Amino acid sequence: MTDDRAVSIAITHALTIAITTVLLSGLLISSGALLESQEQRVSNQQLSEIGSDVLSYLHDFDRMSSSGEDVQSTVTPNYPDRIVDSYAYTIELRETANGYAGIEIRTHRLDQSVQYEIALETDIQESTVRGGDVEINLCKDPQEITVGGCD
Amino acid sequence: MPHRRERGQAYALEGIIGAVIIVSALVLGLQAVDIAPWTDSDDRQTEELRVEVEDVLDAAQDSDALRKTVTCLADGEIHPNAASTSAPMTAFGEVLSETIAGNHQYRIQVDYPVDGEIATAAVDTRAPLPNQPTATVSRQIVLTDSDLVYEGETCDPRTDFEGDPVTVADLDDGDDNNDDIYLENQDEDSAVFAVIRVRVVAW
Amino acid sequence: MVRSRSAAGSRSGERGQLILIAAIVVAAAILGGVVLLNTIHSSPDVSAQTDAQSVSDADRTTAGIHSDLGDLFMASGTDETGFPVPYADEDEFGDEVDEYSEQYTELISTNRSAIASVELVDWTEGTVAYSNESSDEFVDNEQNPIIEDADALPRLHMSFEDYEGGDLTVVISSGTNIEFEFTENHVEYDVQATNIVCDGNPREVDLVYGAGYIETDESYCVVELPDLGSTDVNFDLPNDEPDGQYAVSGENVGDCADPCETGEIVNPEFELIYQDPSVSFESELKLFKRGER
Repeated sequence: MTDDRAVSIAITHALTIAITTVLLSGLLISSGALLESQEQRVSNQQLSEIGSDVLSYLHDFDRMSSSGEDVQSTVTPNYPDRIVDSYAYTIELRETANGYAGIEIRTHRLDQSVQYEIALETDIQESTVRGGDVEINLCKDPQEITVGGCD
Repeated sequence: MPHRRERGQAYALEGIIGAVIIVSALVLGLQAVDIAPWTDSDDRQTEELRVEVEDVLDAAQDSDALRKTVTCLADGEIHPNAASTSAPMTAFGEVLSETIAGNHQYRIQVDYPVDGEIATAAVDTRAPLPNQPTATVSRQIVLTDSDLVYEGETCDPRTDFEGDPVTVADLDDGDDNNDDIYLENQDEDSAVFAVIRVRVVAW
Repeated sequence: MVRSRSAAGSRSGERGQLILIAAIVVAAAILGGVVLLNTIHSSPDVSAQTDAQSVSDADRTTAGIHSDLGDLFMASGTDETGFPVPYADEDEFGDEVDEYSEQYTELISTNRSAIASVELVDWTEGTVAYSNESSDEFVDNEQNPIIEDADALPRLHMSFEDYEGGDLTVVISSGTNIEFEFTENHVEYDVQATNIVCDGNPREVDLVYGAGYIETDESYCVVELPDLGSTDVNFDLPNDEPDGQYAVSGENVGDCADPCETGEIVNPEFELIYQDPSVSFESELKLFKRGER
């Protein structure tokens, strides 16, 4: 069969395939970038939610500690095991420079962290706990707030 | 030429199969996408309402209004006016009218033990249960043998013919099935009459 | 001539199954995109919302129990004397608290998966002096002091129907004297060299360990007395006694004026336990604490 077209069939096909490949890979790469920024945003949101929740527990415990003598309480909240189902995170409770209680929720792999501060009347014991198995405690003897279990 | 016609069918077939594959992929893909995170959560409103109702019940418990409502009787059952928000109002009705009665609807019921089970009495069940998320809050309080019985539209203390106030223990000291009060004395020997629960469903 | 006929072949260019392959590739791209999208956009709505309730639930429940225990305590006094008097019998009150705890837990378990239990674990002994006529004379016997030599006053409660009559003076002496003067139109007292006046016809006085309020028909005044040591309470009555009631309790008291009960509980201490799937709570709680009721 002879061809009256200027371009050979094989080249046409090759061009078609090449163009398709370029387009598809371009699509995949940009969607990859989009997904990654999406992931950053969602993980930040999750960390903030967890952080503000921990904050409200600290506040509640602070109030509770003055409601009676030798108050002891533990809450085991239902936080997700991992951020965006793939990254482990830690919750850290510590004292900040101006005497407030600070909490920091951090994921290493994504290199993200959120920090909160709250003024508490009850003492705190600096401690860290891993995501998934979180416990926030109000301990007696001495009366203090900690994460990860009383001594 | 016969070849060309057959080739036409072949092209058509190929096109159709290709289209079918793409459409099925699209349908499958869209079904698999979890759009839950993007839907607007109704929870926030119900949550706020829940906190509001909790505060209302706290205020009512502090001022003893809950107790008076539960012991406000008409014919041995709870007085229909016991939580009314239109004059004449009881203490509980007042708290409700100043807080949630304006922009929400609610049902109030009392759970109480009788014959070893929990029965429910209505305090205000005029509003039918809706088809939307509701917030339920309950409060438990203890009734003692010396708690007074109230009656009438404004739930005033009831007095007997000698002018002494009537207590819940007077109406049911546990001996026989006294019909004078819907509650039941759980223990005649102790000052504890019964622990009851006031339950409010609001939306 | 025999030609091979392939179903989707074309003679004018061996494009093979190009369209079919392209369709498959696009489908694969769509599915791949969906899979990638699903793995990363998990719900930012952490189920923390429901849990944030559990601690405040525990808080409200224990506050409700505290209130109930107060009512139980007063009812215990009423059982013995016919009056709402803040004291309870050592033997009986413990049983009543157990009964309450049992009924409470039984009822709460029908509504949520939680248990709450209360137990009487300790108490301060003392004496309570009260009026035993429902609305007649204020003090039955003109004996003074009403309470003598108390370590502290857990409760001091007076209420008047409509104060009429002369001036009533209540003297709380402990080192220095604090005199409350009740007249038909005000209540006046001195504390730490400051003179405080509460205007209006007196209705109610309620102090818990020296802190509380005075209520008149016009105003509501906060009272904060300094910490008293060994205390006596004296009533100085006018001839035309006002109508009303009083109940004064004292810790570890030496002597009191009838009608009064001695050697009973004036401030009980409880152990409170609350537990539900995500929160556990334990606390020791005194019924009366300075400034709280």
